[in-house]
Amino acid sequence: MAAVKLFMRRKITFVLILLLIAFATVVVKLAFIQFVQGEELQIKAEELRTRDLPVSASRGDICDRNGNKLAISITADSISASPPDVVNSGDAEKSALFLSEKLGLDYDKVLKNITSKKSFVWVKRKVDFDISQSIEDKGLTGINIVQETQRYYPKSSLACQLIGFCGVDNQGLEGVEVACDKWLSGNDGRVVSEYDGIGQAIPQAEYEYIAPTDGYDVYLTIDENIQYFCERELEKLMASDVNPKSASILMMNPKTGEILAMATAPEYDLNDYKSADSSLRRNPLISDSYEPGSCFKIITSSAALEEGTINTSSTFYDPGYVMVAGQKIKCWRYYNPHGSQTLVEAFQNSCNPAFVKIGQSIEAKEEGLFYKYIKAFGFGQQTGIDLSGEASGIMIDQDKLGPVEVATISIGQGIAVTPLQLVTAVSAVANGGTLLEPQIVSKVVDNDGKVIQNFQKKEVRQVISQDTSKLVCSLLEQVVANGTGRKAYIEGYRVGGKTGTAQVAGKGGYVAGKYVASFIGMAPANDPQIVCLVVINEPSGGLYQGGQIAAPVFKAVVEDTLRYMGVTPQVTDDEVNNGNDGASTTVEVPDVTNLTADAATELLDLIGLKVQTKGSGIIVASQVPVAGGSLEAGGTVILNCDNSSTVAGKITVPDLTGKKLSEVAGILSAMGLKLVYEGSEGIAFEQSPQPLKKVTAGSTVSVKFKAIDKDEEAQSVGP
Amino acid sequence: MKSAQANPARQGNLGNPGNPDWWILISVIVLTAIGVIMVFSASQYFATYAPYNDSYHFLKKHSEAAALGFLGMYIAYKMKYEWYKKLSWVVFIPMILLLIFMAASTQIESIGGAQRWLQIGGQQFQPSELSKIALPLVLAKLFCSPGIDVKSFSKGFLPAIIITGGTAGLILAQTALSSSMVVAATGFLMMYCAGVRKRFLTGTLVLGAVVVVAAIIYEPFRVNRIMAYLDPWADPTGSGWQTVQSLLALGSGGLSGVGLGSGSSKLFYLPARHTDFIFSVLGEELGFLGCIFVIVVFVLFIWRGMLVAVKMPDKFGSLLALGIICAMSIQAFINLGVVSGLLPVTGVTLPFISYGGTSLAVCLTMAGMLLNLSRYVKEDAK
Repeated sequence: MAAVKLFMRRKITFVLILLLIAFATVVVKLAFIQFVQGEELQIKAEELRTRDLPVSASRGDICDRNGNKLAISITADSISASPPDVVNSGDAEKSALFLSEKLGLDYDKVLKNITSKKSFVWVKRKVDFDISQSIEDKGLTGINIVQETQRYYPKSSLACQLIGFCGVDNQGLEGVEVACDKWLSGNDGRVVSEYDGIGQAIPQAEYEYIAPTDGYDVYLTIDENIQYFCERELEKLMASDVNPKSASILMMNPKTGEILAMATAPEYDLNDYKSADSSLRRNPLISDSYEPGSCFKIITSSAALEEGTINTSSTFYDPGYVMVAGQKIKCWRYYNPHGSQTLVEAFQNSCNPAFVKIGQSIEAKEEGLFYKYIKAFGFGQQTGIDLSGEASGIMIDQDKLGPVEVATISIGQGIAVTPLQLVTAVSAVANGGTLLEPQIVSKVVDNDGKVIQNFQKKEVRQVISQDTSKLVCSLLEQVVANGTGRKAYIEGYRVGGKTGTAQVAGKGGYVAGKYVASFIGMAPANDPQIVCLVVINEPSGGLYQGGQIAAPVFKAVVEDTLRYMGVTPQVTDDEVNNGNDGASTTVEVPDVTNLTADAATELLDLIGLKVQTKGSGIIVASQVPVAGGSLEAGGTVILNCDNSSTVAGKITVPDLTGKKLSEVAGILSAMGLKLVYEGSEGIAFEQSPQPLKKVTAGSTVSVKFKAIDKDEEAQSVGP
Repeated sequence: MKSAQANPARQGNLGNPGNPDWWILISVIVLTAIGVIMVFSASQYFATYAPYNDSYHFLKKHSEAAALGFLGMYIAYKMKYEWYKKLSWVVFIPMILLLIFMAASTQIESIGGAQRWLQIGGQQFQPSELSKIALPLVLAKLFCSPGIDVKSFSKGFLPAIIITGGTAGLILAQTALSSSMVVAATGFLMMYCAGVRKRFLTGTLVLGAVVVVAAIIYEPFRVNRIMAYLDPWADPTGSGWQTVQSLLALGSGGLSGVGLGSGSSKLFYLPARHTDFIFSVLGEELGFLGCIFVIVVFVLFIWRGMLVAVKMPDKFGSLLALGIICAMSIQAFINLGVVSGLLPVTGVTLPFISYGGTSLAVCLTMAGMLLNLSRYVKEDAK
């Protein structure tokens, strides 16, 4: 039997070893789980039991340049549910019935939602206050009212395409709301809390609260009032006989590139954006390209004048058409050709053959030069405005630019531009030749009113010289004074502008009977404060010419805007009409500002121009037309002597450079200023204080003179 | 002595009892104490919810079971050794009847797809647990009975396989595959050590494998569990849920754990957190070190128990000790294997530690029997 026992012992030992191996395997597996996979499993476990509940940041306001609120955040009640509590209450069906009735939701969906296996669900977000109140009063277990912030647009449809709107999570979806989302949105905070396996918050668990950072307020460059003027006029236009498909106005301060108004009709209510057709929501002023037509002639002539391929005494002959590479380009008045015209007349007539020749003259000087100017004016590329969805327009490649293309582009056909591009380019013409980046945001301000970012004028490049700029402005003034832009004329203000009428381009050519009428202009023409473009799409009331339907809108808007901005009126109706009667030869108007009225009259009389003096001052503060402008011989120059500086007791120091000692002495004494001079020969080349400085009456102005040679002296005197 | 060894089945006198194996006693007390603490830690949170509404509910019930178990342990320890032989059939036959009743009855409460509890006066009682005591007793008795020849088929193997297979089969009929396997494996190892021929054993293994495969195919939920076992992450919120939650709990523990009572897995994430998956809670709260400590104590218990089996002067005592140790260690291994993802999910408790009145009471009683036997160990026995 001892053998049996020994035999058993060995077997028992073998069983023991088997069991030890089994347990050793468990130990190895545990070590693998707890050390090798440990970290990964721990993170997974944590993810499983922690939930982030967002605490939404209050979205910043959108204001106009003066701080008027255009978009604000208000609190709104949202209905949420805690499904475990709803299920535990045993009243899920009753609650679902009540909620579905109150909120107009499907009963089955509500029931499924509030009894789901989640710890938190939304029943309906952002409901009316009285509805949320009635739900709160009912006191349903597991149904909670949560306060959220909601976007509200106090001016409802004002600048709707510009401002845009937000989604249910306050995320920007369109317009400034999306373009400036980085400033407006702020950073949502969150509550990180632990939940058990059945979705209940763990009582003793640690909560982590990360506070939200509220968004910054964004101040736009637009002015609520100017925006309103524009929208009011557009509304009138839409309701009028013109009855266009849509119409837009874009207004810019040409000196800074700030956009003052950006309006498109038809509009929609931002507080109810969901019911608006998506086509209404886009901002055509930056997103849509169109053929500018004759408005583009401003660009063509600016380039030609800058390059000297034409000048104010150039003449053009219009037989009603022009032949380019075997193709006939007709003038709009081909049935009654303009015949022989001066540059001013060509502008006033908006004569196509003349501008084709102007375009050709640039290309004749140097191949690709015209193209270079178009590029330099910013066409064919985005302007860089802080808005999303900007189009670049359509411009053919330079290697495809043949004679026909040069000809058509000269008159604004065969090129598509965005309204913003055109306004930006014309602003460069208006401001002395500098292309600016358009600005829509003026500043970003935090909750404490601290300015986070200020937007300064951004110069892109100098496109044309100051002289060319002044000249083009005065030509445009003639278009309004006595040309196709006559209907844009505003009593008491000097307005320059250009009409445009183009056919809508469709597949394989132009669409018959569909036009884009436009007018782009600036005011006051001698010192433009605003550049404004009116675009009318597909008018259906018979009239379709820019001069007929767009110019009156421009006039209405610009007139109100100028008065609102406090721009002093300069001339009267009569005077302009007088100035436009006269013979056929034109003369260039010299600069007579800062001269005494007598000296100015003498000088203008010398070159055959009449004078009308306005105001009681002695010194010419401004003149119409401005220096460099053309006037038919015998025309009248209006001298504005109503010098506000003298009235105010403060005197604006005139620009004395280039004038002789005798003239300087006369001007200063007339203004009640004292003269101290160095050198008496030649002309003034340096002065102190600088021109435009305000000084009190009786102040001393020191002027240095230097001798010059005869040629220069002759130039300085005038024509 | 020689006459006693020559006919051990009839020889009740093994000499005067000595001291029990203190290591066994210490390890059992330590494991039970850890069990009480961990049951409280694991159950405290969910016990505050309906229907318990008392965070101490399971602590109280488990403590009661432990007290009852220690009483059983004491009785088993104090009982005269000879009584085990006399009682073996007395325990076994009613247990078989209970199992037959359980399998047949329609009056059984069905919980979690398994009919394992018998409702007696408001207390749930699991008859299959009793088989862990009854089977070692009756098999040890069988192999020491006159007229039994372990080498014979009809006089050795056949009665043993009928008893083992019958018990396992009845438990399997309650859809408790894992408990059935514990019983079957215990019986198998006892047969092996008793000296049943290898070909019979091989045949038994093949038969057992066929039964297990059939049982798995027969119940669709077992197929799902096998799939979940192969890749628990394929469906972490469905069939893989239990394994995934267990791994997440263990993994969160790392070396030294998140601290006793601080675990998160027990917050309704881990299923059967105070019963089958209590080791996961322990692994999370006490870490790898806590796991190793428990396993080392188990191994100590098994090792000392096997020493008793080896050193018992008689075959009955040797086989009984072996059966007791096998039943508990196989169950412990299956539980740890499930918890660590080594084995497919199946519902067995961790001896001494898991909550479960019957299980704890039976385990402690078995430990009492082992302690009783340990007093007769002969160091010079060869």
